[in-house]
Amino acid sequence: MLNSIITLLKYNINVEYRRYAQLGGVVLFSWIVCYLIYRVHPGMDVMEFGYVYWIFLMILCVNICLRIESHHGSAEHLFLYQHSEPNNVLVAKIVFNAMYIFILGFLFYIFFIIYFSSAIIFHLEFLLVLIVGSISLSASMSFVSAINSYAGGQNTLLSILALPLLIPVILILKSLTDEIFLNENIEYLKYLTLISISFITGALSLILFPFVWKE
Amino acid sequence: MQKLLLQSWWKLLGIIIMLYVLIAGFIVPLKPGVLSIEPLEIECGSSAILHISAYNSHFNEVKKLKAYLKIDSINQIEAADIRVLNRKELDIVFDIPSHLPDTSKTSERATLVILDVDQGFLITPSAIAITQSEPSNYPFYGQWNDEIDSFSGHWSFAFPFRSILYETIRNTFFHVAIWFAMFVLLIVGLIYSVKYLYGRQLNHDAVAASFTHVAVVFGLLGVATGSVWAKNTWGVYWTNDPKLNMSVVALMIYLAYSILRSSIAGDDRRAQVSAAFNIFAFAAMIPLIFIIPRMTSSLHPGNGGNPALGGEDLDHTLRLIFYPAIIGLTLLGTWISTLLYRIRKIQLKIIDRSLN
Amino acid sequence: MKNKLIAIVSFCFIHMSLFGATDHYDNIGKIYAVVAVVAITLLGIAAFLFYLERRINSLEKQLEDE
Repeated sequence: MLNSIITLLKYNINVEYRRYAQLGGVVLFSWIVCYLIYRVHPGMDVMEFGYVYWIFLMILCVNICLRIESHHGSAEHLFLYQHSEPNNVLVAKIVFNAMYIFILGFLFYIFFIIYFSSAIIFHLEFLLVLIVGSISLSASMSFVSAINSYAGGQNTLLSILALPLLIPVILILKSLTDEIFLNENIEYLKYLTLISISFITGALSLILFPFVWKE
Repeated sequence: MQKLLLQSWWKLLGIIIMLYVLIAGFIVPLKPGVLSIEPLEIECGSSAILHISAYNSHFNEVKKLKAYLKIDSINQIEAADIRVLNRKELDIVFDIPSHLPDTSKTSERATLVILDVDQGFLITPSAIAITQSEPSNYPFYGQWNDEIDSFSGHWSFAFPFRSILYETIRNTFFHVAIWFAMFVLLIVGLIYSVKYLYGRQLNHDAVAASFTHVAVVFGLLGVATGSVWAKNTWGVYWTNDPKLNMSVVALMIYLAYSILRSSIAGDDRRAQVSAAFNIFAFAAMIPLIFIIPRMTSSLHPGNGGNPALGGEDLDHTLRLIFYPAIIGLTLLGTWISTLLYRIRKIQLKIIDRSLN
Repeated sequence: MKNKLIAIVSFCFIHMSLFGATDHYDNIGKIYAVVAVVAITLLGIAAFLFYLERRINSLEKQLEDE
């Protein structure tokens, strides 16, 4: 099973690597957005950073998951699907999406540090929040984006389906971010909450995915 | 099940219960309560006249009236004189002792208690500030030791009086009950989604879809009525309140569910995907219901000093109508859902026939 | 006009208040908020029933077409 997941993961990375121009597009997109925020509101403080960062990452997350599903239906893809278990495909997808979200979130964070250096500084603990956050975001998103691909794979539909489900995660991430940047006492229970949310959603998608899988 | 669906006794029961809720919900009066007190600040050592205007009271017909100012469970004084002006207004004279029981404080909030032998207590918590111009460090005994008459009172069939809520406490039977009914319908929809995934019968999916659809309508009504109620009590149509946000997100998720249904072609495919999404969405709502509300304070009952619905505040009279209201609205919702289900079933049959 | 309407509505409630409530009709008690909430609920359910009727109409049409 582990071998199969790793093969699928490699396959996903390969596909993404071959389309590196599009990956560059996403990076450029986040740079442009960050610059735009800087031009519109140069004196942004830490509290506002929390909102802007996570809401933008949430929207970026929708785009990422949509792109993973966009090669759904190609010949190669079909071959792979015929030779693997549905749950392996899903696990590979969750891991890949989590990595992708983490890398983009990290880049976006660096852009913020560059532009708003007076307010936002590098915190190692924020990377921990980002790791936990990207896992729970991708645990909820991957299954929903798989569902979305059956319904025509439109952008708006995925946003409608996924964003309400992500709201609790985003709220907890936002409050954690505030606590880190304002040097308040960090409630470690929130990490536990995030992990349990991603556990619930992940387990549930593993249970449900075989039901919507090839028929 | 099929037989029960066609029977009419539970539909009639639902209508009768709703009729009871509507009638009782409107004609049961509110208990009397204090609307305003003047002045709000009095000084130690003075003889203060408090002008009270009350709601739903009958001061001119009452045989015996008593009034107290109460700082805590031990320290309280009785009114020196009570003058009844008319049905709704009173003047109460208090001879305030020269010092507060805690002599080091500059002011203390006192609760006004009016005992009306016919109607019970009219209590206004922390209504009046008593100021002390010369705080001292010497303890002060005596004078604050009048006793409140024990009054068991007869149980009156009336709703509790709560400031800022007033008559709108009756909205509990419609607004709150409709949310409860919505959740019941959603759970029925969830059960049938699970049933569909195991049995693969399109009928089960039709049941799930119908119940969820009606639940969404109930949810929209809940938002609309809640908005009206909020405008009349808190002064705004929308507040940043976790309970409100939670139910609105639940509503968004289920609106998305109906959009998802309408955008998939093919009955089996639609049934599978939407059943899976229904179960997934319900589970994803769990943190929304149990975790987020505990992280922030709420304007809703039970949080942040607001009148609570749990415990003493959802009193027996409210319960007598609130619980039937939930049952009645759920039955009504079930009825409408079964109508929708039968329409869907006929649709499925028509499609079947046209395929053969 | 609006005041008259409110007066008429409240008159009904005075007559309904059999148990001795007396201050229903001056809007200190905000009884109109309750009236509005009940009206919204009933109108909403009625609107949904109309939607159901439209679906039945379309079903009938489908049957006739066959």
